[in-house]
Amino acid sequence: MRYFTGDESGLVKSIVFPLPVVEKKVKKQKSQTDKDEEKPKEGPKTQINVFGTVNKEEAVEKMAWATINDEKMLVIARKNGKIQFMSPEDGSIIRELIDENVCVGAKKEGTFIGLSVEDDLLFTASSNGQICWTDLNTDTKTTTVITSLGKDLTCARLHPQLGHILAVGGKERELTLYDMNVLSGKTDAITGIETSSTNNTTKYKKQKENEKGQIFQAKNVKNDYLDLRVPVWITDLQFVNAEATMIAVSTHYHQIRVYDIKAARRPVLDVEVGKTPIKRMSVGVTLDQVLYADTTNDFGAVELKHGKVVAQYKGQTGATTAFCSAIDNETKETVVVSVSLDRFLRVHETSSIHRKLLNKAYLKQRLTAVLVDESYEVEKPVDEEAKEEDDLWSSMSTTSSKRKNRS
Amino acid sequence: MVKSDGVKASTADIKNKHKREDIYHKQKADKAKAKRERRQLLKKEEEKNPEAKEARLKQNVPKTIDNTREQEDTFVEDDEEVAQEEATDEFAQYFSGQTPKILITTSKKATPACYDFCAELLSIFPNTQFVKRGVKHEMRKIIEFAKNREFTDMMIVNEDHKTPNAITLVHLPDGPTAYFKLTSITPADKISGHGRPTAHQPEIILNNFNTRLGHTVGRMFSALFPQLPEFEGRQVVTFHNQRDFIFVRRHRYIFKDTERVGLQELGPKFTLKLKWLQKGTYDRNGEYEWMFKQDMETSRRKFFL
Repeated sequence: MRYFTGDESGLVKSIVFPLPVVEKKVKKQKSQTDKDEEKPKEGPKTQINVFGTVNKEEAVEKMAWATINDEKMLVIARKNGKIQFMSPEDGSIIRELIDENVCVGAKKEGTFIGLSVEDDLLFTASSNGQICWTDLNTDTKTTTVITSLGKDLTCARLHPQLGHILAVGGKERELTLYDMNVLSGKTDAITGIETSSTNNTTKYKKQKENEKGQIFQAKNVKNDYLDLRVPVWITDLQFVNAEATMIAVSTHYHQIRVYDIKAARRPVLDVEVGKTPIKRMSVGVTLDQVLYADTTNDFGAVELKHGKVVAQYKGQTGATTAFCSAIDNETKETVVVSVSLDRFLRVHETSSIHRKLLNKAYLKQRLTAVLVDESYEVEKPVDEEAKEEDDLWSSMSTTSSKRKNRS
Repeated sequence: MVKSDGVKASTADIKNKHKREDIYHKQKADKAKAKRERRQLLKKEEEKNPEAKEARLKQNVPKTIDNTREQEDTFVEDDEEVAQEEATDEFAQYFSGQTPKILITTSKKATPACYDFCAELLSIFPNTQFVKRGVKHEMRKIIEFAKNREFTDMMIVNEDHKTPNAITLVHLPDGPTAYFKLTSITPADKISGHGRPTAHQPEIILNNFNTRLGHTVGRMFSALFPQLPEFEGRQVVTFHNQRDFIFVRRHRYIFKDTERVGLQELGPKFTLKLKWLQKGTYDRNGEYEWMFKQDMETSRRKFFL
């Protein structure tokens, strides 16, 4: 397991934790004689590699994985609109693009709200509503805007498998799903998804221009008990099934909602979690769970079937800014990886109810993004005792069996 | 009942009260005598050999909570990366020569106790302006006003039950915001033998702000004072951090002769304790960089600053 973090100072760091030391049972005779001499051995240290230089203008906003020509690389979206493709081994920059919709004007408005790479297509979205879909096979230096969805967006995400389905949400912007193929003009008809609205009368209504490519638009929840309108402010969203029909949404007013676009335009689940705005959300250990983090040091998981908080991951002293779940390739167990404003990367286990902190690393900067390289294998420290034993065995000559064949 | 080998036996099992008292007092006197003799012997020896005394005193360091505190990963010790970050952080403008300008205000509907404390604060920080808090003015609005009028810091004194109980310290224009619990306020005129402060710009002493969080808080305090103190005023403001409590004191040093220096307290004195630190200027829904919660207090020896 290797972890990559991005921070507010524009640095990208790769972190490799040493494998947990397995304590061997020392033979009794040996322990009696060596007890006084034996000192606590210093374990192998956490390896931290730093890529880049300190520059607040180049603060990392989003990070994603990309596989181009069978080569795995990091995609880093920076505050000043740069999108860099970085080699995870040495931090060299392979390619650089600029999104001109981010950090525009004197006030430097616009931030990245979505970033992903699928099938050589780079998807980026900015908070002022510009959706870009750039073909990486061309030699372009800037991103290609395919449509503008209006201002005040806070989150845009493509479905991880069905890479053409886009979900967006924002401040006073209800959850809306689009077909990227229609938005970009590749095809005219929406493909591969069925919604509740396809069978009702809305189909026959005159389609407005801004509804082009729109698959689904959510409807606000019913008025509250005082018959007042409930404000909308979506902060993050996640697809929680493979068919892109279930979407979980977190709000500024600390609700977590689940939309089933086959069932209804209103959410099928609407629960309040905590007391402060939920800032980020990610898919949890299974698709039935989401991880959420608020603006203080609360970081937990919510079960989407009944809407209850099923786990709390502790240890943070500041707001958790980015997190994901990953499968440890050593132990084959799922872990939760998080970074926070208190400058720490933390790894929690999920197999027990204690959600113990497995590892943490102090990374000196306020962190904003995290990625996990699951395939990376940590080098095992050479076990000297075992080596000696092996040497002993190999130095012995093999005896040939002299038993006669009696048959 | 004293055993022959000099080991003190317990007198508890002697049933006669007078006998028990007798023996007990005798034992006590013997013990004191032995100690006195031992120390006299040691003194004689060390007079001959002063190095031994030095070595003994060096070795004899009592264990305190402070020097046995839990090791933090975030201690800042000549770290180039942290130095580079601090060179470009929100306080960089101050450290490159911007003169601080502070706005002090109170919570809504303040009482005289709060105004008195604000007057004390005004006397500590040079280039400070007090503004009475209007009932209609929200924090976000005041911050905007202060930004437009080029204030570099803002202090809001909160009160509860007619006593000041907290200070919100906002660095402008980009934050951060810190919230301190305020206790043990002694106004200057309640300090016996206090001196009168002069208008000189004071020196500043920051003690024990060692962790990364402590560094940020320390920088926040130092950004409240002009970079160049007027040494002829001989005034010093101290922010002394001990076990996460920040003790604020003001003194004048007085040269008695060429060798000896005395201190005269000018006051006021009060104690601060950090409750939270927020990224950016104050926003109820903003992201907290650090927030104290009770479950963080895992040990008596764990400190955050």
